[in-house]
Amino acid sequence: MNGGLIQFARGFHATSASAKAKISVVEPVHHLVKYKKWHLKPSMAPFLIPKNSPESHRYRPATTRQDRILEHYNNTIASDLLLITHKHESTNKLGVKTREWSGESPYHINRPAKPPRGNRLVPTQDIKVRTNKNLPVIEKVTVETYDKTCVHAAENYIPVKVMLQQITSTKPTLIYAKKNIPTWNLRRGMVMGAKVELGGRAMTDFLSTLSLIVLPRIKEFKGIKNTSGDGSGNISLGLTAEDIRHFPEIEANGEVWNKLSGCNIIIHTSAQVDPDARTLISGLNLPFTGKEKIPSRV
Amino acid sequence: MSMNCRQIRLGQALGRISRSYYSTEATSHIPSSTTSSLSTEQGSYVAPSPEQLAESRSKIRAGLILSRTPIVTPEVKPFEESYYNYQQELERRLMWTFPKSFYFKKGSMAEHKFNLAQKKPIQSVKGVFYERGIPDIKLGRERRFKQEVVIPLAEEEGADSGSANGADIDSVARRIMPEPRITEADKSNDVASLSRKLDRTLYLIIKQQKTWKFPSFSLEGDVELLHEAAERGLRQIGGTGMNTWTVSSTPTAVIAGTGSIKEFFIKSHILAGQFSAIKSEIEDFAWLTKEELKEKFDKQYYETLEPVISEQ
Repeated sequence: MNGGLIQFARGFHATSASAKAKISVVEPVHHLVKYKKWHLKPSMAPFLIPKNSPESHRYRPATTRQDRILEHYNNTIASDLLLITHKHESTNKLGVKTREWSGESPYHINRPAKPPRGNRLVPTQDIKVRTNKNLPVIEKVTVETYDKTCVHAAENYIPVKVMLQQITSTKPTLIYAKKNIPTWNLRRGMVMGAKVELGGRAMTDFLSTLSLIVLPRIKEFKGIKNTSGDGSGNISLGLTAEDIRHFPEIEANGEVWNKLSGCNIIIHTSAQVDPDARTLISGLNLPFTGKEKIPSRV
Repeated sequence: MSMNCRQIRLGQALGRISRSYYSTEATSHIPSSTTSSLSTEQGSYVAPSPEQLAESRSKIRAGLILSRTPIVTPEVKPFEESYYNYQQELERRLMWTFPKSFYFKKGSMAEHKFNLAQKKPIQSVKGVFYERGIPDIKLGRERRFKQEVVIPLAEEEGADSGSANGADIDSVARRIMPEPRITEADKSNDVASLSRKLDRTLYLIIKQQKTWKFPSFSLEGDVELLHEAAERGLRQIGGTGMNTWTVSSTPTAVIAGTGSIKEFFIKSHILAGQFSAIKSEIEDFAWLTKEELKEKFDKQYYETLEPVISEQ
């Protein structure tokens, strides 16, 4: 609200946001963190220790062993990727963006921005000239499971959560319904399933289990569909409940699992367009199939 | 499959790239009146005559940097190893207690075997001095240290079925033994073998006229592209018994030699098979790492290509 384009507009609140109590926990004082009075009691002191310090109760060791996929990326994939995605005499290209309102009228406050020009509703990223500094990397992997039986039996999220924890070795978080859909008996706030966001060693372990053990055992698997992708470098694939059985963690005691659910796996990359993301992911033994559509803005 | 699509797309891109390279080559040799007619910017592209084409193509050579990528992870240095050990100890200390009831049904034989294999923690008794501190036990776990979960081995029932000496190689119950990182080729220093230096990138170099260089070929015909020439030339000197993958049709390096000859290097990986030298074409060949290449190559040649050779 403060310091933005529409600074002149009157804010209809008693205290301005900038007048609230702030504190700096690190030197030099370059940014301030807002706090409430109860944050200052002695029992909250451990929270001031940074999370990456072994002193903190939230500390989790990250580099517990050599990362095989990271080594492969650094030694082989990165230089190949630079060559493959290189375009001769290319220039920076701006993507289409949402259009903010000018702020001339007080009615512009809180009015949602207009969609980009043309028939595209979703903004696209800028495409920069490829250099060794902006090579695409895999940023994170999200594994998510929705179980529609949770609508009738809310406790059904438990096996879903345990399953995700087993195959990813990371604690999942729950997913809640965002809106009411009366025909499905769905109400806002109902638990719908679980998801887990992976990074670092957990992510590369999951990707190598997927590419070396799980996907080769699926008879119908021909490759990730080339139509998959959200247009800004994030590729997703789905596994059915039968496919999940191929994970060694599930297979080891398969009789325990009465009911398994399928899952969506989303591989988030820093590529600006899907073809670059596919090139990167195919370097990790994850093949693609089908006709590839190259966007015109590439 | 996506690679095929990409190859086709890159092939189209190369058409564009090679033409631009070609036009810069051509402009330096063709009279200025012809140069203006070659320029695409003026909207009238006139194809060069066959003589002009052959002359400019004869000044281009397709080099090949064929590599075998690392097969195993690099050797861990002692400092890294101790750091990883420290982090692992911390991770195991912070781990949740093993949920035994989830994996083993209560009262089952499997649970009994698992229980027998576990080491029991020392119980806390009043009035006893404990050297490592007073035990803090919750649900059968010593909470001050990492939990050691011992998996009962199936081999203990019948030692003969899971013998490590490879007596029954087809048995699924056999113990998995890792292969050594140092191979026979490393011991005998066989530079012609692809199974040497498993944790390093190896590059193919050949000896022609008593000089060690990366393979290099001239372009054939009127339409052969750089990467096509490199792939064809490799089969001519090394036979057809190998699978290679050309990374891109874009060259990775260039050497401007004497007499306005330019050598463009195409990058490729060997995926399967062997390079079997054809004696009439080359004197010798070797698969070498970066440090070994430095010894074999001419100093200037090495320094030009050094940035595109992998450290690891």
